[in-house]
Amino acid sequence: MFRNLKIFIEYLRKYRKQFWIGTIALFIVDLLDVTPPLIIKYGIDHLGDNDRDKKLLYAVAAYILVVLIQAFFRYWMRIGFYGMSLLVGLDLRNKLFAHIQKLSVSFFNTTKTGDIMSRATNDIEAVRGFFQHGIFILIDNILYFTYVPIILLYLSPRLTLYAVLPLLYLPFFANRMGNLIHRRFKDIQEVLSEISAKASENFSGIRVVKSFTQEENEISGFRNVNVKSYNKNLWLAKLDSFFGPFLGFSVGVDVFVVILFGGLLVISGDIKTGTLVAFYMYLRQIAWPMMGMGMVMSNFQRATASMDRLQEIFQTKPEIVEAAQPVTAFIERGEIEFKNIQFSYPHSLDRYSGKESARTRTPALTDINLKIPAGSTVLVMGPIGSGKSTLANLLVRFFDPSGGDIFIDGVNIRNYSLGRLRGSIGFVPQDIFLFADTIKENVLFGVNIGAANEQSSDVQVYTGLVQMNEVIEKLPEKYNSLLGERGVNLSGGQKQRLTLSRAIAKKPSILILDDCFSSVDFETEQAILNSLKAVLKNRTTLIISHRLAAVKLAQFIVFMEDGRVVEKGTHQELMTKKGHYARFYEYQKLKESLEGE
Amino acid sequence: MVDYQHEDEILGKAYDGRLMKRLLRYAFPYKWRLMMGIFLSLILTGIFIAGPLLIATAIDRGISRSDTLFVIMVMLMYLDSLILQMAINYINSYLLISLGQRIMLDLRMEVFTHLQKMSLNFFDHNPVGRLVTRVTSDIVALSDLLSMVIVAVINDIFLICGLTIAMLWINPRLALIPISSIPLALIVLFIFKPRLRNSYRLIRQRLARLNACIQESVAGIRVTQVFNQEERMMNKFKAFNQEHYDANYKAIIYFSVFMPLIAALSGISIGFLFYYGVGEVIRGVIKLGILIAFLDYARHFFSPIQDLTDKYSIFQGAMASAERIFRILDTEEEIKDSVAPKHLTICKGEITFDNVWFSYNNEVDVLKGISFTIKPGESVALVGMSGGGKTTIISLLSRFYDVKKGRILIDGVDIRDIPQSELRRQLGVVLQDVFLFSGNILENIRLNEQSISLDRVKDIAQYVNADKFIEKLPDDYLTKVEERGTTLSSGQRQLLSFARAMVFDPKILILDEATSAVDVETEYYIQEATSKLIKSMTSIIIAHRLSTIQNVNRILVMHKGEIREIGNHQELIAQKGIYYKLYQMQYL
Repeated sequence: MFRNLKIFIEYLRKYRKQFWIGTIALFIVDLLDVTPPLIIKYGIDHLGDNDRDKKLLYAVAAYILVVLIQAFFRYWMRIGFYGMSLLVGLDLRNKLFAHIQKLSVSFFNTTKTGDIMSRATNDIEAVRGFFQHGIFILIDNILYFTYVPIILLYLSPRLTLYAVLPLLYLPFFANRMGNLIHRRFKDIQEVLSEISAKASENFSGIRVVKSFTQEENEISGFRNVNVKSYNKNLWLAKLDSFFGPFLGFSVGVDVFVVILFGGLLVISGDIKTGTLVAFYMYLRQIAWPMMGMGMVMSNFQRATASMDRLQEIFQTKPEIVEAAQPVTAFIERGEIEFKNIQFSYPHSLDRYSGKESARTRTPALTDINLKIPAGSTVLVMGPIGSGKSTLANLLVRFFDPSGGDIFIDGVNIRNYSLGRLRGSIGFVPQDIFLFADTIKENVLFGVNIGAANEQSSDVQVYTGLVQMNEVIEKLPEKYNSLLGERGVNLSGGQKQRLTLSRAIAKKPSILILDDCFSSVDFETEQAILNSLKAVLKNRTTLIISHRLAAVKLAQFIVFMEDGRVVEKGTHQELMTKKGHYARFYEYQKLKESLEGE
Repeated sequence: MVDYQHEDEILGKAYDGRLMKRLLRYAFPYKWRLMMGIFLSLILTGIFIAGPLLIATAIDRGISRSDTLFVIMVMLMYLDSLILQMAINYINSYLLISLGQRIMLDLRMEVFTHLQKMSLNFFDHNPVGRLVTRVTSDIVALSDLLSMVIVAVINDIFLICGLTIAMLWINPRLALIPISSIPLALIVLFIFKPRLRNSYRLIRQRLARLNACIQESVAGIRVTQVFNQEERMMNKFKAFNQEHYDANYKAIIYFSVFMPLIAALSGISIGFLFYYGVGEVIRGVIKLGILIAFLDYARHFFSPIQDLTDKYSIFQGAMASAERIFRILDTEEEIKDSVAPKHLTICKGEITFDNVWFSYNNEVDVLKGISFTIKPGESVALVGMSGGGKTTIISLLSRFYDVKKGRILIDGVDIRDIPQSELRRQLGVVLQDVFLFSGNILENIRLNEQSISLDRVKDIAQYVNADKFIEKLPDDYLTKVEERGTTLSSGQRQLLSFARAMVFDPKILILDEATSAVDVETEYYIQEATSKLIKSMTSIIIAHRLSTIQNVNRILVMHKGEIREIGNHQELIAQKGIYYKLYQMQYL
C-alpha cells in the first residue's frame, strides 16, 4: 500500500509551488477558522460591560475582516491544490501516452484497447483525485486537530476533557467502518464485472442467441446477476446508511455532554456562558473533519490501486530496442538479405485475431535465406498463413527474429536506429488504417514535419499515382476532406489506395506492399501498378500478394508455404518447374477468371 | 471506432431538463416509497431545526436561571431527538438508496431487453465494448445521480425552506438579515452558473477529444511506428491534453472565486446577524440562546448552495450517460414481428426465395433477384466463391435482416408474417465460427433451456457423434468451457454445435460448414453426422466438403449475388461452367 508513496511524494516535489501555495493558504484559512467562536465568545462575555457597544462593533468588524481574509486565502487554497492535481493529471497522461507510443506491437496484440483506455481515464482520474481531495483533507485535518484542542484546553481544560472523551473512538470507528465498506464495495465491483462479462458474452454471441431464440432466457439470466448486484448494493447501503447518521449522532451526543456538563459548570460559576457557546460552536465545526479521516483512507487506497495499474504499463519495456550506438546513415541502396531466419510469434498469439490458436504455435518462419538485390521488384506469393506478412513485419522490426539476422545494405537491421530503418521503408500494411484527419494530412503523414507544408499539388501527385484524384476532386472539401466517422465515407478500396499513396509520399528506398490491393478490383490494381512503374524503378520493392497483376512487374518471385521459402526464381523459371508456384498460378488464374464471369 | 469523439455534442439547458424528466419517470412505479422518503426527509428537517432550539431553551431557561434540573430535562429531550434522528435517518437513507438501486435495476434490464430485440445490423455497427459500457458505467453514473444528487437536492430544498420558516417564526426581524442576503447569493449564482456550465461542457468535449486521440493512436500504432511519427502523435496529444487542462483550469478559477465568495457572503451575514442580534439581546427582545440558535441556522443557510455546486459535475456526467442510454432506448428495432402474425401449424419445411434482393449498406447489392424453392425434406448445397452471397442467404432465412425486395416463404407463409421466435424455432443453425458461452458442455448444448433433460442431450450428442469426445472430457457433460474457449478443438466445436442445433428439434437444418482442417477421426465423425442430418430434414448447406456436396439433392452455384447454375454434382461438372472451375480450384 505504501509502495507508491515515493511516486506521490515525487509529484509533490515536482509541483511544490502549487503544493506550498495550497498548504500555506490552507494553514491560514484553518487558523482563522478558529477565531469566529472566540469573537462570539468575546462579544457574549462583554454583554454587561459599559462600553459594550464599542466592543461589539470591534468584534463584528474583526469577524468580517476574518471572513474576508479567509475568502482570499480560500481562493489560493483551491487554486493550489486543484492546480496541483490538474498538473499531475496532465503529466501522467503525457507520460502514459509517450510510453505507449514506444511499446512494441506485441504489447498491443496482448492488451485490449479498452484496458489501455480505462487506465488512461479512470486510473489517472483516481490518482488525480488523491492530489485534489486526499492530500487536501489530510493536511486540513492535521491542522484542525492541532489548533482546536489547543484552544479548547486554553478555554477550559475540564470541559475539553468532557468534550474529547466521547469522540476518541471515532477515528477508529471510522477506519473500521471504512474497511468494511471498502470490502463490500469490492464485492460490488466484482458483481459489476460479472454483469459486464455477461453482457459482453451476450452481445458477442448475439447471432447464436437469436438463432436459438434464447432472448428470454438470456434476459432472465442477466436479471439474476443484476438482482445479485442489487442485493449486494443493499447490503452496502445498510452500512452506508448507518455510517453517516451514526457519525452525526456521535457529534450530537458530544454536544449533549458539553451543554449538559458545561451548563452545570456555568451554573456553578466555573466558566462563562461565552466559553460554553464557543465550545458548542467548535463542536459543530469539528464534525466534518472527523468524517474526512475515513475519506482520506479510501481515497488513498483507490489512488494506490490505480497507480499500480499505471505502473504496470510504465514498467512494460519495449521489446524492440535500438543498439547502443546505432548506425545513423540513411539506407541508400536497399539491398536486403534474410539469413537463416527463424521466428515464432510471442505468446502463441494469432497475428490476426490476437487469440491463441493452434496454427501459430508452430513457427511462423523457418530457415529463411533470401537475398533481394537493390532496386529490384520482388513478388512474395503463397497461401494465407504461409509467413509472407511476417517477413514484412520483421523487416520493419515490429518483431525481432528468434534466430538469424536481416541485413540491409550489409548492415544488420538491429544496428540501424529505428528512425533511420523505418524512415527508409515505405510500408503499406494489410489492415487499412487512416487517421480521423484530412486526406492531405493522411497522405503526408510520413513526410517530415518540417516538409509537411508541402502544397496540395504534391498531394495530388501521390493520390494521382493511386488513381484517386477523380474521387477526391468530387468531394466538397477536396484534399482537406476529413476522414473517419464524422468525415467523408470512402470505400475500403479507396482507403486502401490512400494508404498506398501515404507510403509513396515518404519517398522511401524500400517499399513494402503487404496485400494492399485486396479491396481494389483487378482493373484498378492493374492501372495503379502501371502508374507506379516509374516509382518502383530504382527502389527495392517487396510486393506481397496472391493476385497475379503484379507478376509482370516482378523481376523475381518468392513462393512461400508453411513459413518456408519453397521456390524462387523468375515467373518463367517457376512455371516450367511446374511446382507449387505453377499450381498456385493456375488456381489463381481460374479464380480471377471466375471473378470476371 | 472513434467512440469517444462521437458522444459529446453541446447539450442545451432544455435538453438536460428533458432528460431529467424522463429519468424521474422511472421513479414513478415507486412513488409511495418516494413519498415516504420525502415525508421522512421533512421530519428530519424538523428535528434538525429543533436541535438548536432545544439548546437555546437549555441556555435561556436553564443555565442562565441556574436551573440544573431543567437543563438536564431539556438535554435529555435533546438526546431523545438525536436517537430519533439517527433512526429516521437510517431508514430514510436506506429507503432512498434502495430506491435508486431499484431504478437502476429496472433501467439496466430495460436497456438489455431492448438490445435483445435489436437486429444484427445494429450489432454490426456498434462494437461490443461500447454496448457493455452502456449497461455498466453509464448506468452506474446514473445511480450516483439518483443516490447522491437527488437525495441531496430534496434535503437541501427542505433545509432552506425549513430554516426560513423557523427563523421567520422565531423572530421575523432577525430573520430578515440572513434572508436578505439570499438575493445577493442568487445574483452571484446567476453570474457564475452559465460560466460554470459552459466550462464543464468544454471540459467534457475536450476530454472526449483527448480520449478519442488515445484510442485512435492505439488503433493506428503500427502505422505511427512504421512511419516514425511518434513525435507528431505525441505533439498532437500534448496539444489536446493541454487544451483539456486549460479548460479545467478555467473551471477551477471560477470555482475558486465562487465558493469563497459564497462563504464570505455567509460569513458577512452572520456578522451582521451577530451585531444586530446582540443588540436585541441587550434590549431584551430575545434571549442569548435564541441568538446562538440563529447563528447556527444562518451557518447552514448557505450550505445547500455550496453543496449543490459541488455535485454539479456528478450531475453533468450523469446527464451525458443518460443521453447515451436513452439514445439506445430510442433506437427502434429494425426487424419487428407482424401485428397480424401467421402461425406455422405443422412445419413441413418448404423454403421458397422469391426474387430476393438485399444489400447491407444500401449501396452494393449482395443478392440480386434470387429465386429458388426447396421441397420438404430436400437438401440443397450452396457453393461459390466468398462474397458470392451464400452466408447472406442463411442470414436472411433466419430473418437476421429483412430483404430489400422480394420475399422468403416457409410452407408458403412469408417469414415476415411469422413471429421471429416461432420462425427460428424451426431452424437448426450450425455456424462456421462456433460461439461457446462460459459454462459447461451441457449448458452449451441446451443453452438456457432447462426443460431439455440431460438424457435428451446425451441422446442427441450420441446421434451426432459428439458423445465420443465429450465422454473423454474430465467431467464429461459438466466440463467447463470458456468464452472463445481454447479447450475444445475446432472439430469438437463443430460436433458440439451439431448437438446444440439438434437438441432443439428443428424442422430445417442450416449448416455453414467449417473450412478449418481437423484430424482424421473427427473429420470422419463430422462427415457421418452431416450425411445423417441432411437426410433427416430439409437442409440448406454452405458446403465445402466433397462428401457433403455429393450427398445433397441439388447444388445451387452462387456467384456475385446470383444463382448461376443448378444441378447435381455430375450435371454441373458436365456443364463446365463456374462449378467446374470451382471444383478444379479445390483440387488443384
